[in-house]
Amino acid sequence: MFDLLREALLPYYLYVKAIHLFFVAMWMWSTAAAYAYYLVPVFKAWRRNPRDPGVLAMRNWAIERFDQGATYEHIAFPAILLTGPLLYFLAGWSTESGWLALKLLIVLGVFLPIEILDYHLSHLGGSKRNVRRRNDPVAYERAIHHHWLFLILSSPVVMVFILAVIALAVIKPF
Amino acid sequence: MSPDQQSAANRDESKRDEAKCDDSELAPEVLPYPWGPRDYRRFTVMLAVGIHLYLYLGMIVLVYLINGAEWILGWKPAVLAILSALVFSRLSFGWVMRLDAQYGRGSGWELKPVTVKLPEERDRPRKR
Repeated sequence: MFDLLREALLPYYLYVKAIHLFFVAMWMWSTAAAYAYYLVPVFKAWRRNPRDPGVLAMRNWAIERFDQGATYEHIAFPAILLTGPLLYFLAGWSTESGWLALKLLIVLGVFLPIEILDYHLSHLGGSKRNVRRRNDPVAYERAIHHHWLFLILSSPVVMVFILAVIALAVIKPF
Repeated sequence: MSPDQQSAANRDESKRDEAKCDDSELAPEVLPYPWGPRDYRRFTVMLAVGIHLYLYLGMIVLVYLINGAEWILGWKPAVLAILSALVFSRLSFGWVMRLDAQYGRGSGWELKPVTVKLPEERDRPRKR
């Protein structure tokens, strides 16, 4: 059954790879400029002026826009999780290749938990727009604190391990 | 008024507005931000150790236990993991501190008081 499926899909391996790379690029960079040049300056201003009403209004608007801006990233990630294992299956890869084993560990053990939290904070219960609708200013403020903590604590991990994953996939060093 | 005088006047006005913004009577109730440098240091060290331990042990399972390759048990991967954890914890602490405005005074930025209209999406009634 699996062999039959592999034989049928193998001619399309490069198409699947192209789709995988398209979504990887979308996942990696779709929020980068908004984060670095819009969100971070506003949040730094808030951290230095936590009681300024103008800064608070801007901060709230920016994080709600950023929640929605993460949509591209969060469309891309499930597509990566579908096409990645498909490539693994079609090409007959195995964890004998050290680079692939490490890449899988990073994607499944580092990126996946981060993305699950990010879905919650951006679109589900932690979405600032959803929290605002509940008319609870304390819950809203707490949701923003949680999201900011998540963003600053995850960003070094994401940046370093994204570069590591690209290097592993392209260079295949071991 | 010369450009220099105009610029000095703008700076004075900006300082006055910042002073006004510090007035707690104008500010809404604000929850205290829960984390500080000590928490960041503890978290980044734990994160660096946790991630590297997970990756090292995961590689032992995948490469040695499942595939029988012994190179992962040598000294090089272990030393690399320890060095990487040390560098990562140091760099990520500095990174987090900079992002959270704990380093520097923000003197490269000024808060300009302007009136703006922020576009907000209307809540649409849900279709039944």
